[in-house]
Amino acid sequence: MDLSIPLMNSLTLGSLYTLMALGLTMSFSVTKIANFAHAELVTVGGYVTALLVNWMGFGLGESLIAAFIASALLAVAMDEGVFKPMIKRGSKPLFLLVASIGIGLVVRYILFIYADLNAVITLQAQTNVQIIGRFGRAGITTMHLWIFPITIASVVLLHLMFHYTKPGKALRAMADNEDLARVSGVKIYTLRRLMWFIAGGITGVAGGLWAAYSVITPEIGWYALLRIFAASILGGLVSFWGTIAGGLIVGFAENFGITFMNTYFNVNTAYRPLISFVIIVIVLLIKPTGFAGFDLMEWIKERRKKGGE
Amino acid sequence: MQLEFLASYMPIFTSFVVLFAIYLIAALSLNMEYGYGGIPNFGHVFFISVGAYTAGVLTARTVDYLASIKAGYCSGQASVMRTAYLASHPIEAVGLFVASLILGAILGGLFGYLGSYPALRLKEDFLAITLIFIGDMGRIIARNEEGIVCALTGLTGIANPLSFIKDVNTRSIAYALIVVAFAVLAYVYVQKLAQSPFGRLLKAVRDDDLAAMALGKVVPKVRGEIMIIGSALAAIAGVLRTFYIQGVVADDFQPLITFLILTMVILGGMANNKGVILGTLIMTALDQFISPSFMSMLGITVEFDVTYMKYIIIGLIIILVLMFRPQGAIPEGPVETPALELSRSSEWDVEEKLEIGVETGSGGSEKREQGDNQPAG
Amino acid sequence: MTAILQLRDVAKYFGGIRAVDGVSFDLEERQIVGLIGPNGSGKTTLINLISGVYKPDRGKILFRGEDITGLDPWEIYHKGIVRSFQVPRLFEKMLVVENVMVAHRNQKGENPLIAPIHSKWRDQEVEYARRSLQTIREFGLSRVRNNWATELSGGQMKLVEITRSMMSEPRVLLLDEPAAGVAPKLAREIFGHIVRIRDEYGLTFLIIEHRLDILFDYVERVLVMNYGELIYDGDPEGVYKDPRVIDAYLGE
Repeated sequence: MDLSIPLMNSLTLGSLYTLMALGLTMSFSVTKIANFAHAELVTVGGYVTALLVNWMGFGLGESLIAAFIASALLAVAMDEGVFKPMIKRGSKPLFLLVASIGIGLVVRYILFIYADLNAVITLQAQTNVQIIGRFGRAGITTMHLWIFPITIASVVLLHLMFHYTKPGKALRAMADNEDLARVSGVKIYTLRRLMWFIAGGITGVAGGLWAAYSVITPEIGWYALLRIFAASILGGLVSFWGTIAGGLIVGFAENFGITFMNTYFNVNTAYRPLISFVIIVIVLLIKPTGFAGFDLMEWIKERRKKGGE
Repeated sequence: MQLEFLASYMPIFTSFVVLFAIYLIAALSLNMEYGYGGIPNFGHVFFISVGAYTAGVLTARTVDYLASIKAGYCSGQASVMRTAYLASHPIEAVGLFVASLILGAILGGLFGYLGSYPALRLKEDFLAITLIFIGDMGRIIARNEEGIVCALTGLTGIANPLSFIKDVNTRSIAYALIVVAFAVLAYVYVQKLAQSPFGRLLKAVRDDDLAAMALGKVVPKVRGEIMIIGSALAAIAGVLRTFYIQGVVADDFQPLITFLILTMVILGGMANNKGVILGTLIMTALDQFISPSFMSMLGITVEFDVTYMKYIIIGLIIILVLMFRPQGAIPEGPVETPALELSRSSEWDVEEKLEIGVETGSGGSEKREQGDNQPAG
Repeated sequence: MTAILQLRDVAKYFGGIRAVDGVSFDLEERQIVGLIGPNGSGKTTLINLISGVYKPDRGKILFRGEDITGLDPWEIYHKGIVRSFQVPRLFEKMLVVENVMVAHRNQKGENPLIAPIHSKWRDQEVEYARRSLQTIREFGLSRVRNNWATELSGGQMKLVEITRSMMSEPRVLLLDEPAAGVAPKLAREIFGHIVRIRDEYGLTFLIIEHRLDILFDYVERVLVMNYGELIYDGDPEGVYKDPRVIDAYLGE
């Protein structure tokens, strides 16, 4: 069995899932909302990118910036328009989740109407993709030169922001304990807006990259949402590095898992989403905190202690 | 003249009544699980589909065997032969209908019990996420397996149990009456259940499971029980639907159906069965009348698929209700048992003069926001 | 006097934190015992261990000589040990009378198979309702009995919790700060009720309370915890004289 193709697919999709899941993890850790409308941030980013490239003749780079802004504004609008007023009225987290489903439906089906009227229900950004190298039987294309550097740059920038800038540190404090951040006089609502802006933005960029890499529909975000949740839940929905590991694990597990099962057990490739689903169920039922709070040294110590007994 | 005019609208009316009744059973069941029991079973559509598939598979396989149908399970020929067989064998047709209801309820209850396992371990929002995806996994399996409901083509020829009645109008009205009877039974059942100590127990577990445990309530058992009851009811709705549309297609059971039913419950009022009737009525009307066929009947041409409009409206209703009236149209009331009747009588107004007389405030001195919930009595 | 509740070297660790670290004591029947200690000294954890919310890592808990270590909370309740919570945990979308009614045990109508047939449980329900309403009256809550639980004042909520605990005819009540956040007058009245039900029903009490001035007027014995250990066990007067207690708690 040649593994070069599943390997490249795993890395590519794993990177996209990571970007999307980082957005979800950011918004969940700060607001504790399991935001199902996160799916629509992906879709909007994808459509903005594809339409600008195809109709306006924009380059992919400019289009991705536009996708960032569009999804970022949508994310801020969701919070300002729905979540924040609901939280002020004392809504439970579950009600916020249900409201996010409502937001998702509204955005998704507005997009559907738009796409239906303009005959773009299925769409791909027409970029000049060239094969620039080979890895086994898999081609390395100019698309990969967009996806990998953007993912790595986003992770590095986010890491720098969370650890070396004042708002980044304050956001981490908020994720740990909102009261604490309030007491220390941090402007909580400005920070919250900033968080939604960035979380929405990177998710939109991931959607844009997806639109250039593959075909999208107004349901692309909903399709990706299972993977996004799987990746985020692997990170306990709060851990930055846990989410990155989660995105890659989901990418690898799906591509290798389905290739393996298809080759040896003749399993239909349509069962691919079951893999992410199994990840979600297993993690939530066995270790709901995912990788969050996972400390390698502590783990080793514990193992030694048990072995010594 | 007028009668003919009315008659032309009869099929629309019966189909509306049947769908309303089926949705009502499903919504009442979700209300028991989520409104009363506090279990956000957002994989509800899966439990409906269990009943729908059971009805399809049981009927098709049995008829194929009884009538020695050799054509493929999913073939159009088999479908025609099944329909013919059921139309000419009323006893078998009704028997299979009843058997489907029983088996569907049992299987639904069984899956519901399995579904209560994550409910013991997860916080409610994580539970909701898990159950949404569980619900969709069932569909993904069914749409890829020929043996269940014929993958994407769907299983057909599950004729109406009353198909021995030759006149189409009479038949559909008769079936509508059966479905309505089930909905009435379901309503009476859930209402009896809700207005009993069991209903009170459900609310206690919902409001604070730790406190309920500390008061001797076996919380895992209660959650298991309500998931069995709710899912069995949902499965019955699925069985009735399969025999109504005379077939079953996996892709009819999208997560959107759960959200539609959830909207019925939220809009009407959680933990209020009367409210659920109202919510179901409004949402069924929306579901029925914002459709391409109804639009073309009205002579309205729309450039896009109007079903999209339906989902936008559902989304808006969810958002607006949760933002401005989270208790729904008819808010939750207390559990009406004889204890409440007794408590409302003035004989208990007199405070006893004890050594320790506690001065209770007016009772409203520290009123918190509680929507429109009015104290009873 | 006989010991009704006995703790033998009970311990609970959370990660590296020794929340409760080898606590032993006996509660005599009809005693009202205060449990005090600085914040985080393990008092609430101890109540959680006795009431079955946590399982101890070590040690034994005996109730009337029977080992009840590690039982589930509902089993402990049915043995006759009932606890209250630091922040009152009433069922919010239920009336006061419903909150009290829930607490009865062996309710026929709680079985979903019997519940829809109202005639099967009506008589029991009426009987329980009378008992509930009588107890509500005894606790001076009649005026608010048909109010929503969320409409009560903090002190009333505390009283409803105690009222509700009485429905199972318990032997031991574990009360977590029954007078916290309550005006001094009402606080004394709550303790008055505690003494009253001890005398009337012969109950045994273990009470966590921070307001020592009030607590010491009603208890005959005080346990002091610090860092998960029991550092004092004796009469209230001795507390102020014990050097370890002064060091850990009063000298703060």
